[in-house]
Amino acid sequence: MKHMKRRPSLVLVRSRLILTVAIAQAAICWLPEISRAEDSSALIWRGFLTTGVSVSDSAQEYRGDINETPNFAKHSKFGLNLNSKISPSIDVAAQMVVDQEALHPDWAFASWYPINSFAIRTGKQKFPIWLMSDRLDVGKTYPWITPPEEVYGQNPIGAISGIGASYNLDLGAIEILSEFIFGAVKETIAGDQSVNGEKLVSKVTADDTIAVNLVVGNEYVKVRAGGASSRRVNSETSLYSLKNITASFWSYGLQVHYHGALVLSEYAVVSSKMDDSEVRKADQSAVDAAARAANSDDELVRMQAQQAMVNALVHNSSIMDGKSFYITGGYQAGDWLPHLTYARLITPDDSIAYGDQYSVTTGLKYDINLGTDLKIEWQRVTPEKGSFGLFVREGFNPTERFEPINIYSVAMDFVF
Amino acid sequence: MRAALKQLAGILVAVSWLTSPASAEILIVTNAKNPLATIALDDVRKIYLGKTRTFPDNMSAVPVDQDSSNHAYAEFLTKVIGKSEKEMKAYWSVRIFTGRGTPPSRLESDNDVINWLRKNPEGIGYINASAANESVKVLLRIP
Repeated sequence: MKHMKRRPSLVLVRSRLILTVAIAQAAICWLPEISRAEDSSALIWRGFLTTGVSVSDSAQEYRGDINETPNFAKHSKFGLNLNSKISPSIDVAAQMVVDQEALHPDWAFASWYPINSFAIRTGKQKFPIWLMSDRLDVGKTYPWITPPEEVYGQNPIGAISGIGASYNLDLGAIEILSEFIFGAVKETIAGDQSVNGEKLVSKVTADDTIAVNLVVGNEYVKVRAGGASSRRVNSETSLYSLKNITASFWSYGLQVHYHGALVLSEYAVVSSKMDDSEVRKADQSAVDAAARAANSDDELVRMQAQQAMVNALVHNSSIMDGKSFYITGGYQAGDWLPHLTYARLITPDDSIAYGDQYSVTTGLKYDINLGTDLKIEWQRVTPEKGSFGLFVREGFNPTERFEPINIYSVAMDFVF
Repeated sequence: MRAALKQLAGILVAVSWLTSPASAEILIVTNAKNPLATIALDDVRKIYLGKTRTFPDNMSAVPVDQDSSNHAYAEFLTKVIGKSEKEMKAYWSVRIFTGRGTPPSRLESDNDVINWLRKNPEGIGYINASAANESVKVLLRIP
């Protein structure tokens, strides 16, 4: 689950955080790598932990419950990774993640290598549809505290359950990696809308998802193109359901890491199309709800009518359509990595689901040791064209507007 | 006084030179029964980075690493892998936590590597040249 319905109390989150850090530190101290890795056929475990806090200078809630009250939950994650080589050509691996209140399987799959550079995988798999989307939970593997939400916040596909294959072609100076997966998606996501103080939690399912990824490059430069196409995407919430969406997600990425200089950039496109019969159903539902609301004093009935009308509008537009990009530049000077990011989200003019925004983020990552880093970050988020941006909205008030905000974050990442 | 300081500085430089670990030859070794006679540096690199799971003759290859405090480890990273310890940690963190591979197992010393290779026909390891004996086959010498 990407976000929870209710934010746990500050004291509870702090207690959990302290406990998690203590467990992680104990693991780091008591189980050095050498004792876990002597037998490659044994079950080997490793883990990661991120703990941090974000606060903004505004009461307006930004994505993931960030406002002027310090939020310890958004960046706190603990992951446990298990793997075993059960034969020279077969590996099994699984990862569990605790984020905020929930413990859930992140991924679990078996890999079979019939020949050296070709693998077939089956199970629940993370897939790099976006440049970092297969390791978003592992803060130690990227420079930011929060990867650009304009891009990564638009991809509802966390993992795909199915079968996939990868082929690695080594041409000497250049390597080509091609990956493919076919399967189904089942995710629970807290959206950016809230009703009566509660986030609308959406259960997203998608059958017939096909994803591909192509990476060309070497250890200094990598260029990639990745994407997924999903048919029969359904999104169910307590107030509405969207059915039979056909959606596609594409991105083109660049990664340069040369003599300390770091460039990360990505351009992503999300597009969707609704089934005609669902559009007609939504329109009729809006008419019926409006008729009920006209004869009722009940606030909930009026809200449902408003929602039904919004729903109809949503069905007649492209709910998830948008283009987004970011570019990050940084320089690794010893243990220090200062970086700067510009990110932007552009939605179609007729879309009411998301709004345009851009953000500028500057941060500093300091490697305390091989397995630990400390990050600080300042981000300024600016909604554009008088839109919602990625702010949390109360109800469906189309007149609500948001001002630019500043977000300050500090985090520590561990891998062990 | 100045002359004495110069003398002291000279002695300190000499002592630090004498006690600093010199660049030593390391050997890429395997089980004595492994039919392979030699191996290219690039093939060793690919095996240790998890980019291939076999020797060049397509026999399964299981690499073993040494503890990061060992001199041989530092030499191997510099001369074979071409990455720093930090870069290696970052490389394997991505592969581990995306389920795309795991780093080689680690042993504490040259002798542990030799003993492990005796029992593992598919094994490949590296040791300081001074530790070599007839129980393992040398595939490559790296001065």
